[in-house]
Amino acid sequence: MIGSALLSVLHIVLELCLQCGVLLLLLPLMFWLEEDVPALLVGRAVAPLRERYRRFAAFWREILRTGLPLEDGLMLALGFLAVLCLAGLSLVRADVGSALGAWLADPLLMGGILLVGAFWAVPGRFRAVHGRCCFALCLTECFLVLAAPGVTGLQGVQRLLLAAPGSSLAGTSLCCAAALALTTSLPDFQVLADEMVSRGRPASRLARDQRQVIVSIHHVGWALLLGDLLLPVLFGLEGPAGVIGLVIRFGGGSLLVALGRLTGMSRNGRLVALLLGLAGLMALAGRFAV
Amino acid sequence: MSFHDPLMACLLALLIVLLLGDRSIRVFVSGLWRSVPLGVWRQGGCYMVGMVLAMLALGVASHAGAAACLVAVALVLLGGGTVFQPVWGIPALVGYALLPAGAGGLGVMATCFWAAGRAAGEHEVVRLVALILMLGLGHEMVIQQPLIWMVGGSVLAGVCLLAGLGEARLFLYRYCRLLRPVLLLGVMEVSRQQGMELGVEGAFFALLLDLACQCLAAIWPRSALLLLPAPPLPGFIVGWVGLHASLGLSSSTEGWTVMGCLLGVAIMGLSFGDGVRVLSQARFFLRDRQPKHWAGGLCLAAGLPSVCGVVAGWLVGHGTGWAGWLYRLPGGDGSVTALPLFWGGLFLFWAFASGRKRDDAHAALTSDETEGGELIRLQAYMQAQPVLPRSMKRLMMRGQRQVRTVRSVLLEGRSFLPVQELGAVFWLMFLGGVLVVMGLAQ
Repeated sequence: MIGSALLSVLHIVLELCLQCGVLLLLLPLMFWLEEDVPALLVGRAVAPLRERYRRFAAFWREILRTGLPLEDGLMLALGFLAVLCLAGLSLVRADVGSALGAWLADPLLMGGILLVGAFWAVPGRFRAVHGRCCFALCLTECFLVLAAPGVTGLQGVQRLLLAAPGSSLAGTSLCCAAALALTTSLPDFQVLADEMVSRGRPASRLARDQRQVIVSIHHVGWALLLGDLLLPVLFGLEGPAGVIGLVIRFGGGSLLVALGRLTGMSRNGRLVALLLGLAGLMALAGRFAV
Repeated sequence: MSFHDPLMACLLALLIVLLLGDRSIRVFVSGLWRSVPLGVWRQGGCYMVGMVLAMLALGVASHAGAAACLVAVALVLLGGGTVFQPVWGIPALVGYALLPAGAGGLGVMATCFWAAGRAAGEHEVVRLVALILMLGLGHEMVIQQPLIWMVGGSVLAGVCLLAGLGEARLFLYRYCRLLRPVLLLGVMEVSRQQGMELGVEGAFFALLLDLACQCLAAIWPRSALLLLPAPPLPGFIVGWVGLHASLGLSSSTEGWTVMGCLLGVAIMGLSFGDGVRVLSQARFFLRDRQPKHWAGGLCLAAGLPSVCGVVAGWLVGHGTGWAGWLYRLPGGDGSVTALPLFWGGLFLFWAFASGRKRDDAHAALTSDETEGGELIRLQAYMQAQPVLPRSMKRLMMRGQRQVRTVRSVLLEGRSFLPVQELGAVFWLMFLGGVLVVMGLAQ
């Protein structure tokens, strides 16, 4: 009895450690995909991928040696846990991954956590923009529940889509993902640098670098949220397929973000309202068609 | 006496907590054997008598006339005589005494809204007592007509807003905190009428957590930050569970599909509006750097929802499943969030990331070292050569040329199209897209 309980606890810890390890390996690649590849496509020269890994390793070495200030540590913990929940991996034990995916990977909850990090990094600015983003998140949650009553988290969305492919749920979540990509209110690096300069007390180069990495983790989390809503079928696959699904979902999400930024459509209120209205329409249509 | 009613028992317990914790009442009690300024002492006495009368009013809620009289006296004592300035206060309470279960409940609601709106910034306790009186005495009306209760509450809040709009910009957000419990109580009663056990439990949990946080904020101003709608904090849980309770109403009840959605968004929006007010009032508490305060506040934020959940589950009647509240919080519609587990992970990770104790001399030395090192040479990871593959650049240039050619051809071809306006084309395409997606949805 006690032995089996200990064994399951050991399995859960092993599973969580494996998930963290995979994420730590993938995160620099994600930074590179999200920040450097669009710059490369526009025609600018960027640092190679190797340097991203080296920089990330230096970040963790510094944390292990001296630790972070309280606020930065809180932001890092929130961002990393949000990425862990949104990744939807399950490597050894399936139930841990499905518990994370069903109980914590809720769009409103995770989006709210990422927005809190953004607000913490650049306080006092973009209050209206944050409000609009929160509103879009609330409507997303409402429409998902309308389209699929009793669904719990993104894992529930995936199971429902596998059971009934081509339902209106997919269209709803796609439209919500596009609307959320257009209302993104995470600060970009220029704003972050301005904020840290205007804070008065000049921060050291180390603090600036650390905060940049933390904000990049939040950006990755946001792109993952968008990708999860864009391709919910790929969420929470078991085994190594989950890692591939994670990378594909992340690619989709960052493509949405990059498209919104490149076409200048980000924060276009009418388009966002149009997409949200479309999502609501599809949710109601699916609801009443049953 | 209606102590068998769980809501009434909770409200009485919260009033007792307020009575024990309020600062002016403590001043009054210590003034019995020490010397304090007479004005402060008298005010504390007025508060204490007013709160005791409010408790009595909740106790005799079954005799509506006596309750109305007690409410009148209690609000006069708490408001310093300004509450019954409007003439309509007395007829409203008389209406309540005549029709406690019908539309007369709106009378006590209007009076309490007015009293709560009049209470200035430092009298948070008065607002809370008025809110608790409103919830407790209006409960009979909510049981019979929940819809009139919710609509009436919204309209009354709007009227109060219009009446006092000119005073300050933050006045707009003052009523968010008052209207949210009213809506939650309405959601709870509607789900009880429709026979949804989960919805009742979720809405009651949200209501209890909301009132508990507001009580804490009244006693200990620093904990007003708990009401921020930022995710792991209780203020967000109130909004989330309220949203899901009303969504559960919309997903399993006939005729509430759209109303439930609107109600849920309204509850969450009220939470956000309240957050703006909390941020503007309690902002300087955020700059507090003492780890002791941080740790205490975070433990409170992590533990409070579970405690409220256990109490709510016990009072609603599912006392056997109390252990579930320790690791997950159910919303009202079958969805579950495992926020206590998330708090655990957060604490672990946070301790890992920032737990090391550094003595200041050593920290100064190392930071000087890094600053100096920065001047001499860049960090190792910044010395890489940037990459830009030539072949890729050539490919991109060719692609851009292709795009330009295609666009010029399209511009030429557009002049032959029957529809010249771009907007019309866009709307046609959009309509087609909607039809395609609806076809897919079948």
